[in-house]
Amino acid sequence: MTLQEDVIVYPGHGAGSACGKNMSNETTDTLGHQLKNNYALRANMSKEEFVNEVLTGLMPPPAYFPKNAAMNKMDSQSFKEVIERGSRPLDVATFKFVAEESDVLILDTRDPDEFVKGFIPGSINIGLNGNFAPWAGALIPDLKQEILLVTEPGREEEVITRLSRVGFDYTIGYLDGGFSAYLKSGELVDSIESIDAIELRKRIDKDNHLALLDVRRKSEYDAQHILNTEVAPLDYINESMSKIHRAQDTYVYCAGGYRSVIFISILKARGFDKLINVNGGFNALKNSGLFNVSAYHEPTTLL
Amino acid sequence: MKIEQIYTGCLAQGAYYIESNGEAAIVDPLREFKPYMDRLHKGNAKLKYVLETHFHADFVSGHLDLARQTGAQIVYGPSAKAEFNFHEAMDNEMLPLGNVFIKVLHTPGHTMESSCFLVIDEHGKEHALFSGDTLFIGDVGRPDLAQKEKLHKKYWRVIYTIHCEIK
Repeated sequence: MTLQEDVIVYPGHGAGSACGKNMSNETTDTLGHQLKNNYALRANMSKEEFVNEVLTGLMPPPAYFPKNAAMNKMDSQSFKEVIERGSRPLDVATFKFVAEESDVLILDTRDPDEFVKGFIPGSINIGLNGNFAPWAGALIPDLKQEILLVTEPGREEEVITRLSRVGFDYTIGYLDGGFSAYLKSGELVDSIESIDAIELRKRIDKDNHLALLDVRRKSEYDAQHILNTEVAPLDYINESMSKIHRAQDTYVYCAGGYRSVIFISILKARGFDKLINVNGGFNALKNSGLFNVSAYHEPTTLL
Repeated sequence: MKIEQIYTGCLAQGAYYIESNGEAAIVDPLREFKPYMDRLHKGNAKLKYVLETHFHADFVSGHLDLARQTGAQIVYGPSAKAEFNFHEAMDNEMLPLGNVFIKVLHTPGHTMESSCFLVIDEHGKEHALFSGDTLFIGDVGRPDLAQKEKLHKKYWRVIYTIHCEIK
C-alpha cells in the first residue's frame, strides 16, 4: 500500500475536540501537507519520541466519554423516541410539580447574561450558544438523568437533539413559554450578581484579600493569568469546589463569561451562595488594563 | 463522485457523505438521522454503508437509526465487538460504492478497532482518506482513552507506516 501526497484528509474532529490535544482550525488538508506540518508525522521521529509527545499534556477525558463509547456498542433506543419523550410542553404549575416530585434536573439553556438576571431556583445553566453538548456531558454525571428544560421558545427540539448527541436520552419536557412564562406566574426567582472589570477593581482596592477564582482550563491559565490567583477548572468542578470558602465572597471568571455562569449555577444549586460572576471573564479583566497579568506563554496543549 | 463534509461546531465533529452513481455512504454520523436522510433524498441516492471509523467516545452515533431507516450495512474495522449486527471489515478490504471503491485500512492506536477509509476514484486513483480519530489536521487522536496497554506503541507503528507510505 502507498498513499499519495495529494490524497485529501477528512478527519473525525477539528479544534475544540477533547479527542486530541492540539488540532488545527482547518477541517481538511492533504496528506503531503500534513507530512510537513503535523508534529506526529515528522521524519526521523523515534518511537520513544512519538509515545512521549503524544501522551504529553493529556488531561483526563470528560466523564461522559466511556459511557458514550459503551452506548455506541449497544442497541440504543431510537432517536425518534427520545424526541417524542422530550417534546412535552408543560405549563408552570405542571413543570413545578414534576420538578418537585422527582430527582429531576432543571437545565436552562439561555445565554449566560440572560440567566444571571433571573432563573428558576435550583436550575443550572449551560448555554446553547456555546460548546453545549460537551459541557453537558462533562458536568451531568448520569446519562439517565431526567431533565426538564428552560429554553428560548422555539429551540426545544434543538436542545433535546443536542443532548441526545452525547447520550442524554431522558429529557422529559420543557417549560411552555420559556422563562418569561415563569416570571409572569409570580413564582420565586433566583439571580446571580454579575459585575464588570472596573467594579471588581474598585472592590479589590477596598479589600485586597478578595477571593478570585479562574475556572478556565489549566492550559489556558498557564498561558496567561491574573497574578496571585488560583485555577479551578470547570472541567473538574467537584475538585474545584474544594477551593472555595463557603462563607466568603468569591469572584468567578473564565475566558469570556460562558463557563463561569455554568460553574456558579451548579454550585448555587449545591448551596454555595456567595459566588459572584465577573462579566466578560479574563479577556475583559486583561483588556481593562487594571489587573497585573503574567507573561504570555504559547500553550503546548489545548486540553 | 461527490464528497461532502457535514461539520458540527458544538462537538467539533466531521461526518461525511460520499456518493457515486446512485449509491452513498455516510461516515461517522451524529445521532439525528434526518439531515442525512434529507441529503440522500436530495441526491436521489441509496445508502449502502454506514462507515464507522471507530467506537466514538465523545458522541452517540446514529448508525443504528440510519441502518434501520435505509437497510444500509454498518461497517466497523477489524476486532470491533458490538451488540448489533454489523460488517466487521478486514484490513485492506475493498468496499464497492457505485463507480468507486472504499478501502478499509486498520489503524489501531486511538482505539483497537480504529480504521481509516481510503476512497479510490473512478480512475483507480487514491482520492481521499477518512481518517477518523487516527489522524487529525495537526495532531493524532489521543491513545489513552481505550486504556489498552501498549496501544500507543502500536499507534506509533501505524503513524510510522502512514508516514512511510506517503509518496
